[in-house]
Amino acid sequence: MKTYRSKTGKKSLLPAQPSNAVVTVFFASLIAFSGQVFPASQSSNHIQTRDDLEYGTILFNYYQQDYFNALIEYEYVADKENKRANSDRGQLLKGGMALSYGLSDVSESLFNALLVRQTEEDVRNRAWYYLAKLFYAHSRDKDAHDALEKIHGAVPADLHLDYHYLATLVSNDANHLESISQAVDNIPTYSPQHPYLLFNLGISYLRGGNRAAAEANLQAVVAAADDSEELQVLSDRARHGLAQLAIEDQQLLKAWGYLQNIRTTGLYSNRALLAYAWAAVRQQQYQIALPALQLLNERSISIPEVQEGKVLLGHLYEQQDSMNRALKSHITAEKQFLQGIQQVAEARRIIDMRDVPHEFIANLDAIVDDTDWYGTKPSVDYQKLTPFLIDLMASNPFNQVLHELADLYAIRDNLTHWSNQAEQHALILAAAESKMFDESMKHLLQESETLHSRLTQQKDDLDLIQLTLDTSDQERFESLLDNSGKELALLTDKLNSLRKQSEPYRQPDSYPEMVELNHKRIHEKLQVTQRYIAKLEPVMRNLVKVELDKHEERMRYYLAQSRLAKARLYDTALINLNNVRRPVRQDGD
Amino acid sequence: MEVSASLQSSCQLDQQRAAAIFAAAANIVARLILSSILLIFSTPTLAQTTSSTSSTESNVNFAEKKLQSSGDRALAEIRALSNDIQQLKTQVVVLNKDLRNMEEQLLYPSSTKYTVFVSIASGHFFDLEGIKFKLDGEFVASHIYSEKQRNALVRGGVHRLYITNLSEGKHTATVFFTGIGSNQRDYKRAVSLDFDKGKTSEYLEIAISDDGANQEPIFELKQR
Repeated sequence: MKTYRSKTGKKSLLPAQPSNAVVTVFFASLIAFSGQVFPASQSSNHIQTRDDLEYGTILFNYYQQDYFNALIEYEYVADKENKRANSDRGQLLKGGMALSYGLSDVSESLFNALLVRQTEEDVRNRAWYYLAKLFYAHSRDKDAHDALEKIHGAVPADLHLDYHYLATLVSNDANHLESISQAVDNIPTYSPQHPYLLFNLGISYLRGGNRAAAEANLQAVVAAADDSEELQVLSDRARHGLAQLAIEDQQLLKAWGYLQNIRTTGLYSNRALLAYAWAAVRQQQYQIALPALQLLNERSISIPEVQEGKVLLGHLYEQQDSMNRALKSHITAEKQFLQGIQQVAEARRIIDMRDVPHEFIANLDAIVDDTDWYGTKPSVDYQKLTPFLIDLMASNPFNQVLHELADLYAIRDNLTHWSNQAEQHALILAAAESKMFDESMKHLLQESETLHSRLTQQKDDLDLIQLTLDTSDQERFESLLDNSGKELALLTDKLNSLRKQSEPYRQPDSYPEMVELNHKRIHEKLQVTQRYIAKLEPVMRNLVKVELDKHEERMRYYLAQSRLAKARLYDTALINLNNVRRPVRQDGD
Repeated sequence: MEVSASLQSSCQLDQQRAAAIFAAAANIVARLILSSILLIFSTPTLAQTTSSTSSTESNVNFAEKKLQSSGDRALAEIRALSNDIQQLKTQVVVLNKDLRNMEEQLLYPSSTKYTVFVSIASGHFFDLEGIKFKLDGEFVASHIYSEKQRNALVRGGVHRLYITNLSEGKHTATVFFTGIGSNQRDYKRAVSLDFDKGKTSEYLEIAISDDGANQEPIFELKQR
């Protein structure tokens, strides 16, 4: 067995990627290095200078994984000659952000530039590590392997886990796996990445042909599972892998044992239920296979395992000589396949709608709602489309198209916002030009001065009155008078500032030209963005349609199977009827 | 009566025989049709898959070639556009930086620019939920922090809360904090600072840190 299912059920050779919280493992290390070594929270003296404050605004976006705005913030801060942003570590941060934002060319050149310079070992190690990640993401495994080899000395503490994690993905040969295995043994078992490291190591062993070590690692993953949903999912996945290994070894009982322990509602439940049923069928334990198939039978027709399960269910009834139930099962399956084919047609209609790609991406988080992925009760928008896209979601081409489209939509929104701001900019310019320090302003100033002297006089009177009061009364009014004094001081200060002004602030003459030029740039970039979106949307639509074709073809195949089985059962019934009637006829003779 | 009865019964028997012959013929025809259908559908039937030693995977690759070619086409399209999109992204980032600088130049001249930041150090004794900022007696800014933003602050991020123009001279800033204290109770606090604004742009840091000895949060306003 060399294939595994990803979270979305897609067959994949890729090892496990931690879901949700830990899926960010790929980026977690970037996050961790961005200052020095960041602990879970900051110490009290992490901000000493204005540069620290400005640099912190980059991190604020970065830690929220808002890489687009983090990069803008970086450019803005670096433009102000911020020393931290322009340091080697700042460059490293920029490289990491660019990598996360899909600017692999930018990040590669940044990391290479850092490595050419005589930077400290820690920075060099980090740069090699991120380059290795970049190469791995581009399927350049040899380059990734070489980059990891360039890491010398101590691996930065905050990168320790991630380094080994990447190493389990990149290295396959026995020597490296042994050293990685030893390193993984030294990682605390309470670390959230530990089970994932074990899992990936197991898969790497399997690729290298070491089944025993692979099995041991997968069993360790199963043993490491606690009550958390995430580890339960990983454990299910490991059990499924172990079951497949056992099936390959013809150890059906052992496989069955693993399959029995996979949860019936988790991410791997559909595959597990079907595999469990097949394992039982192979042992001719039809009665035991039935509950698993009946459970599958209640789930959405769009799931391939459910489709296969429906035909298998009818077959099992036949094997048990329960012809009526078999016939009923095939008739129901036939109806459901026809409904499924109708749903595919509806999904085709939806994907052809104008704004669907944009809305689809905007609602992606809701669409891939983990709680319902196995399709018992669809709860999201695009219900009619998304059940058929589970496999597609895990495919590399579709993901890349979605990713690029999502970025392009975000850029379009950003530029549209700036385009709308253009009017405001024009207003500001016009208002600045019309500012005048005329007679009315002088009159207002005089009035303010009169008011100020009257208030000062009143304050002095109040102070004197207060002195005549009892001590207890004086204390009562003291804070009130203090506040009035402060307000008066602020007023005096403002008046003094105004008196110093002989004319209002005038904007430089270059501003209108600068504004016009920038508005032109907005317009140009918006057009380019629209053009790229127009090129990519049909690609996405086509991928979806081909996926729908696959679903339709499969459902038609199973529909034909159900129909054939139904016809065969009718045929058998006719023969039986014939056999029953023949003695009657013979009796008549 | 007997004859007629026997005729009637023999007639019924003939009808039954005819029906049986017809049913048998229908059976043969149906079987022939079925077997020809089975031949046409040369894909393995369920019985065959049951006996096969392969895994639970179906042996049929549905639309495999079509999927492969559409995936390849999509990847080729992405690769062709990849450089252009990367270039566009880089240019848009730079354009955003320029536009932000431009807006600041238009709205906040460097002599009067005043920026307010929020930072958290440690944050063990206070979970920040919201901030209200009052400048010279007027509420000018407020912000409610999401979980993500709180985490970003605790990890070392700094939130730019407010930018304004502030004239040279004396001013008063007051900040109202709301959140959850170390005992999981609602916690409200206000801090005030009187300061002199100089002739250049200035920063104000609203800093939240921990007082380990008293197990209380510390709220400070620092001029930078």
